[in-house]
Amino acid sequence: MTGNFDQKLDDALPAVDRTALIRALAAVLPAESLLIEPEQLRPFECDGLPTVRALPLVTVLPDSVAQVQAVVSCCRELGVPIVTRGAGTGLSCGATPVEAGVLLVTSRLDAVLSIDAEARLARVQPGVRNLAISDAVAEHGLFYAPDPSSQLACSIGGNVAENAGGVHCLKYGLTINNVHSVTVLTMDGELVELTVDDLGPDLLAAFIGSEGLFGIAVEITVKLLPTPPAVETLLVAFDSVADCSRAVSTTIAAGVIPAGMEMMDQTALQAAEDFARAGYPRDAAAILLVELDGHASSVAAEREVLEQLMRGAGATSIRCARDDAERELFWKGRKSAFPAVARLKPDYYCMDGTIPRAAIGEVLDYICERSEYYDLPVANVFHAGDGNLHPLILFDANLPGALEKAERLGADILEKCITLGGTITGEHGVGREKINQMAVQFSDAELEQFRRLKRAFDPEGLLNPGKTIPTLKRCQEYRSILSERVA
Amino acid sequence: MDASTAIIEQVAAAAAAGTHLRVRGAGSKPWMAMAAGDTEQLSLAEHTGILQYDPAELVVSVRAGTRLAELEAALADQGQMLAMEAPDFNGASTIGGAVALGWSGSRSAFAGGVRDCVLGLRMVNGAGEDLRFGGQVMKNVAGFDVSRLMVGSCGRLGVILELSLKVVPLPEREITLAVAVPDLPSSQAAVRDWTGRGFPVSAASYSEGKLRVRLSGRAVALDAAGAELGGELEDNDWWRSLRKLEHPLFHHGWGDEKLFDCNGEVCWTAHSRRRGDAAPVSLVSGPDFAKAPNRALLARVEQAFDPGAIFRPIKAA
Repeated sequence: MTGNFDQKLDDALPAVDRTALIRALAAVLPAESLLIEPEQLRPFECDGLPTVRALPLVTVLPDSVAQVQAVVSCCRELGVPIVTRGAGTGLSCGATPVEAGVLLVTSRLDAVLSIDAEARLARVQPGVRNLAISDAVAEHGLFYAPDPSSQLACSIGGNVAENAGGVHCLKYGLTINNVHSVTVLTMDGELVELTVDDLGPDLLAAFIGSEGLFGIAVEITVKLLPTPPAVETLLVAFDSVADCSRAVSTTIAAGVIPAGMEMMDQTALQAAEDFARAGYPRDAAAILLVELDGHASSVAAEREVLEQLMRGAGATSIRCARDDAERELFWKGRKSAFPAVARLKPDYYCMDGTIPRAAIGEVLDYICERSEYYDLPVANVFHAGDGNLHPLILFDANLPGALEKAERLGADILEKCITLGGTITGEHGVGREKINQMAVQFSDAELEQFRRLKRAFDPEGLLNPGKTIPTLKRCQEYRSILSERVA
Repeated sequence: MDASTAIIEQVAAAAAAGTHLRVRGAGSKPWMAMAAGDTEQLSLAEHTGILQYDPAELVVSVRAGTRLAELEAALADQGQMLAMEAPDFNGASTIGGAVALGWSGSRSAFAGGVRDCVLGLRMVNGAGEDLRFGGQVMKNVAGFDVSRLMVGSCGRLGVILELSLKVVPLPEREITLAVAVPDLPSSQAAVRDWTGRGFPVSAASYSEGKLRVRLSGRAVALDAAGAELGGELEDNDWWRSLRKLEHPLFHHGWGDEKLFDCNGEVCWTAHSRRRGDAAPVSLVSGPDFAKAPNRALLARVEQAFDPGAIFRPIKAA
């Protein structure tokens, strides 16, 4: 049972008069903002996870908030679903179009509206790329902290929709911790401003990570941080994965919280080394990349403590980046790990479970065992500091049954994460991809509470239908398959 | 002690009978959820205790009726603290009440507030359903973020039964430096300069022409800061007096005088606290939800959790 849309298991989509829709949209959008030909729609048929694909009825590329409002108004009147898409780098089929709906792409809403260097806030449109924010504020000695590996391409609107993380979450938090306010266009056409200062329940927190099901973010004010004056990046090698995992827990237990703490196993680090020439030790069983930042005196003190801890945990070598160029190289290897691993096999499938740190060793053993069982190699790259795993399952989709096998292996890993007290997604989101596992992580009453919350924002259910929260029918079906498997 | 069964039964009974409930922790903030005359009380006073705490995971799970002070003492025993410092009224506040109110303390402008430290919770909604959201790990985006939605809900969406919270290591050392400044903007400019230079500022207040800054971190870094920044070394008790609302201002006021905490984000006057541009909240009559922004949306969210309005006896949407 896959995450593919299934009429028997998912809510039926409304019947839409495409001609009437195109006529209505053409009246409010310039011709170049409305794509209707199949060859124009094809590039939008999937997001960063191409296992689920669909062509939307039309794709719209509004370049102003007024145009977004006009599109929403057309869709509301005609009862047409809307899927919002940022840069399309998401890894959970959150921006996969629905066949009976409009795909609303925010990439042309790409203005940095204002920078308040004193208050350390930047007001931006949703299509602004993550890294473009840091670039725009660098002259003030500031940066935007959340840094997903896709930060060159991904947009802040998508980051807000998914509550995106990154390699420096350990110290700086996720998107939720770095956004001051969001202006949301709801399906009823209203502009609602949600801020961290609001009295009452934290609606801003509920909106962030709602995967396009609550509203369309049309303006986002992010918090900025001063660029740390001192940074040290350590590349630490181990000759066993177990030692490396233990080093992570030991560090945290000793009261050292690095800005980032990333782990790669041998398959991943060799692929990254071949791809990026980052200077990783190819013979290591696993490496940690650890970054410390802050005032020079405290960074120096923490580095000393950290090196001692790493040696005590069995590190075979410790290298500190000599300068910014070498630091960038160390990170380039890590941040290009996905495309690097992608060169090993025609396809890869990236998982995103999170577990308590103490269980890292156990889950890695389990992944290894399942990898042999399904006969599919797995490369492990992850945010070790916060227990967020990114096992990359390697396969060849041209071989019959290979994709299904990869999806089964992925499901096994996610369900193991739940058993260990973790979660099926740390930062990539549920989308269509993990829709079945939601039935394992949550009870029917909890899922129904999610549906009621969704209806509070979007009573007609027109925003990103079929994503994130499974139907009761799908849950029952998936749970019965699981219990049969156990029996 | 685990009182969850009795609490869930009481909510289910109220839902069935259509009566109202007023959630009460230790009663340190009686103004938080004002009730109609005949409203029945739901007490969390007996629902206490730490459920799970492994310091290496930087997470603690605790029953909502546990006193903040008790929780913090248990964390301090392991060299840790909560990643926020919510106000502790009369030293009696519970963690559930602190999260329901959602007021972030002095640390919030630099290290995050209550909502940044909530990782997961167990709650009962207005239908008497026992629900769990979020979890015990740092990163978790499965489903909507109901755990953080509950921060600031003042008991109007349901009863928080258990909380999983992020904890952090206690700083090696903390010091407080005081500097005379003419006004709030110059106080903020000084803080901007200090944080920009990488000093580990963890709190900043301005009142009576004085900026007080707390630095938390490695001893060597604080020695460097003291030498470089100057200012007068003061007692750290100042922050405690703000947190416990022991400062005289909270009780009888200073005429027109104001006290700015959280680097100006929070403004205290006599019996009242204002955050940012939001409406001030009175320490006598509590938050006025009629002044909350986005009323229509908020009312639908309240309805989604508590369709029978058993937790919203007065101060209607």
